[in-house]
Amino acid sequence: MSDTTAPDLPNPLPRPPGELEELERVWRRPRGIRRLTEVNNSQIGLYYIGTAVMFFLFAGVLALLMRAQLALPENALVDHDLYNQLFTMHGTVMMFLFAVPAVEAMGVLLLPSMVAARDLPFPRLSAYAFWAYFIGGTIFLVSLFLDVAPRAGWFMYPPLSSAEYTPDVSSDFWLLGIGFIEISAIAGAIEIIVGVLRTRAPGMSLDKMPVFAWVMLVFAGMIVFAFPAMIAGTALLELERAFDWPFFIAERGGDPLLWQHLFWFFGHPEVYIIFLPAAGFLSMIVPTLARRPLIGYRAIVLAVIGTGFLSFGLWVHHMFTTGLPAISMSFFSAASMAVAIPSGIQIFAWIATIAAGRMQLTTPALFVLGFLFIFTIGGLSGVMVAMVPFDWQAHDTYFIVAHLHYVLIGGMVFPLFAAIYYWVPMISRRRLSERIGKVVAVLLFLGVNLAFFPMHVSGLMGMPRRVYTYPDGLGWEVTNLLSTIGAFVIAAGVALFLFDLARNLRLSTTRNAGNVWDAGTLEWLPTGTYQTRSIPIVTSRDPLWDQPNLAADVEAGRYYLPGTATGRRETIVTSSVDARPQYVLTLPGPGWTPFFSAAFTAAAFMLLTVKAVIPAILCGAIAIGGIIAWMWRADIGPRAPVDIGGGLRLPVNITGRNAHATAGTVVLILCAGTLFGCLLFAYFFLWTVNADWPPAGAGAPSPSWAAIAAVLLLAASLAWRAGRGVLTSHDQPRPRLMFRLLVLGAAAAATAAVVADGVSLWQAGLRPADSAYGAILYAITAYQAFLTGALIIMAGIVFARSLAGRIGGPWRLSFEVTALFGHYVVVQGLVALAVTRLFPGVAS
Amino acid sequence: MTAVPASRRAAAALPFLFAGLIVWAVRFLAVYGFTAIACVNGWSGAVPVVIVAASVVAIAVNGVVIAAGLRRNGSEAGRFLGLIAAAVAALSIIAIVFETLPAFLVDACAA
Repeated sequence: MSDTTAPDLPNPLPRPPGELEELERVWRRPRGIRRLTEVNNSQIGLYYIGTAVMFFLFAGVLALLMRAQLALPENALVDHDLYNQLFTMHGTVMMFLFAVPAVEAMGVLLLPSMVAARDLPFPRLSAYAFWAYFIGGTIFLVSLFLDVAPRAGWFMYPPLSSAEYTPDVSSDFWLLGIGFIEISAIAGAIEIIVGVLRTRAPGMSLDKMPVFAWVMLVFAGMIVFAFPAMIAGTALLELERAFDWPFFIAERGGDPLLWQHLFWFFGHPEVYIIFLPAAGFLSMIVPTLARRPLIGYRAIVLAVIGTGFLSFGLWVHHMFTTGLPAISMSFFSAASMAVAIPSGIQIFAWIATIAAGRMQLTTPALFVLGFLFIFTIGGLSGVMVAMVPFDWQAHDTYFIVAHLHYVLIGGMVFPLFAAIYYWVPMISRRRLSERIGKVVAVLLFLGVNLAFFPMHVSGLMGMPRRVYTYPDGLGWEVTNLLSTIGAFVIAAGVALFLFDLARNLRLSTTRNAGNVWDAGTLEWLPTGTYQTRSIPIVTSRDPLWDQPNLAADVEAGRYYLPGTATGRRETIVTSSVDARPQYVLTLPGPGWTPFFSAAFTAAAFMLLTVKAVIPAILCGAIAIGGIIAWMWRADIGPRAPVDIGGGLRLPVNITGRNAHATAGTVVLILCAGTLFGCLLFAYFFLWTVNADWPPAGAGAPSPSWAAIAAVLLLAASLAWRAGRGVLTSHDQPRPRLMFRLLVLGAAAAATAAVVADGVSLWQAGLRPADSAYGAILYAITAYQAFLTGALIIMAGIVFARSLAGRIGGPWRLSFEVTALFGHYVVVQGLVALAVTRLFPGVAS
Repeated sequence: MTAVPASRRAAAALPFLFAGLIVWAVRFLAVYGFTAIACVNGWSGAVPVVIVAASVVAIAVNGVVIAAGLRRNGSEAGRFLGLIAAAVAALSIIAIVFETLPAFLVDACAA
């Protein structure tokens, strides 16, 4: 590298002494017990992926127990009750504690370096999400050893999972434990969406974004729209179990099918939520291994977006045997076939890239080839079960077990192994062994096919799912024995993989093995704890291939922000389409609040499962206290503009539409809105299954109360607006009092509105336990009350910040996000009133 | 490289990118919801008519999205965005046509 300064690079050499040391000091990782306080995404990503692998091993052991039991007919290794817990836990842990967190972990681990950000915009949120998942998930596992593990299947269908047929706490463990881990997935999704859109390196416009970033954007968007359905479903079922609100009890107007709709509205996109990031791994790995740029970048972006959306139109294909109208099933059958188009586009793009390049048969390449074979078989059997008449035959048989394992193992586990072998040199001093890796790949490939291909046959011969044993003489003996042998071959492969990890994985941020594959994307730039020394200007999709000397110039500090401009952790925020620098965002450093808030959130939910209500409330209060402490320090306000090089002076921490927190709040509102939409769906669904709606004898809530509530909501919205006006006006002393009154007034009006709504239901004589009609009305009001409660806390923080002089003039981000959320609460309240008060009237 | 100020256009970029599939989703949910209600109330004759009508409207809107996407100019990223938005709308049209076929093939409310 020469030390003459190229005119087009933003910062000259030599760099001032002490600049790098200062950068290292700011990003230094805490040691010892204070490791728990680290919030940096690359560190949290490592914890995350390690934890996910741990859960994978645990759930794998459960699978081995089941296969051991099914090896021979009439085997007595495991009794039926334990077997029910085993398959429920296996499915639940694999889906919720391994698959989604593992791909989310890869996202937070890889994205910052792939887009050359110092970090994603909400590091504490990621830390909170991780710790909540780690602690909650671990407690969830323990339930198995106490014989209180869930046992109603991973999709928890009522009435089997309801209070009547599962009176013990096992279903509660599932509903509260898993429901709460979904919250952690949503937190991660918010981080990823805002991170991908706003922290990309300058010049990395949408058309130059790595496919993995596209994929994670769509993935996170899918979480935002799918997971709330699951949260709504689990909340309703838990309300039914705890308080006898009959959402799913047919005698009182409920319907168990409502659960299936909510579950699968989440559950089908879930499959693609797992698959898309894995496909994203492949789109990064295949070009590197084939030594050429990806063929069909634009087609893949189209396919990823298409898959993300279309996968929401498939949920009923899990319900073909529930007696829906034929035409409704046909829509979903057609959509199930249509979604094969974008999946096919991706597969052909990878094959074309492999064919056009020179693929080296390395370990990741073997996993990629294994993926292509296994996933394609799973896809084909998927198109088979998309046909309604075939599905009627195959439903609830081992054919489905075979199909879903081909799709999930092919579509997610193989790509994940490819990804681990591929990216370990980025995080470890040594790469993993190519020799051992190839044996692992071969063992897994043989094992998976041996375990799951015979299951197609078992299923076609009529063997049902979820049976703990089967009688001799039905012809199922051979295929089951083969499946068991295959399962243990998989286990041998995984054990060998662990051996490889133990021998070769030596974590290191600064002295990693580096770009051993000679890849073209930014995650292979030389890194420290601060990610890259300087933040590059990107002009290509494969910058390390196309921009000569990029790695050396980045490391020498010749690009943007070669040190710390504000003396804090920070990153550059760029515009979402063209990735032009907009401002410098200061980022939080290590702190205890995410860890403690997460620990107490997990404790609160887990104590609720065993009905320890008072300790649960205490833990919840401590968790909220922790989050308040965290929020108190979150908005440090704008600072003087700083120079990042190349004559570019950027503001620090802006407020308003372009602020990262505004974007995060918008995503949160989308989540809240989807959850609300699911409750409205439940309302209309229950209406269609009940001939009388409202049921005969149910009182009608008085319209005058509803009118009062609506007026209060509108008043709240006006108060938020006025508050903003006062805050941005220039006279100071008197408006400060006015501002505080408006904030309190807005929160009070929203609260009064939801109270008025609740009172009107009660006065009309409606009781939630009497009928599904009452239950859903109270549920909608309770959700409005929940959001209002959150709003009260937010408004309280704004009020307190105003008293402490931590708000005013341009320093107002915490107010703006509160007001934005406040407006949403108003809109939701008005829609709820309109639907629940006007619709029955219109219908009758 | 220059810094850019706040822009309203940027906020609209993602909704535009996804517009075609948003139209698909709205049509899908509307048709699904209508069918459910219609079959409960015995209006099975209306179902195919409504499905086809909804599809025609959705395809027309997607045609507009395609035209707007192909017309989009400006930066390289802007043209890319337009092209992908048009392709997304085209994919949506395929899905919509596919999902309209049952109206001609299946007796609406038979179980």
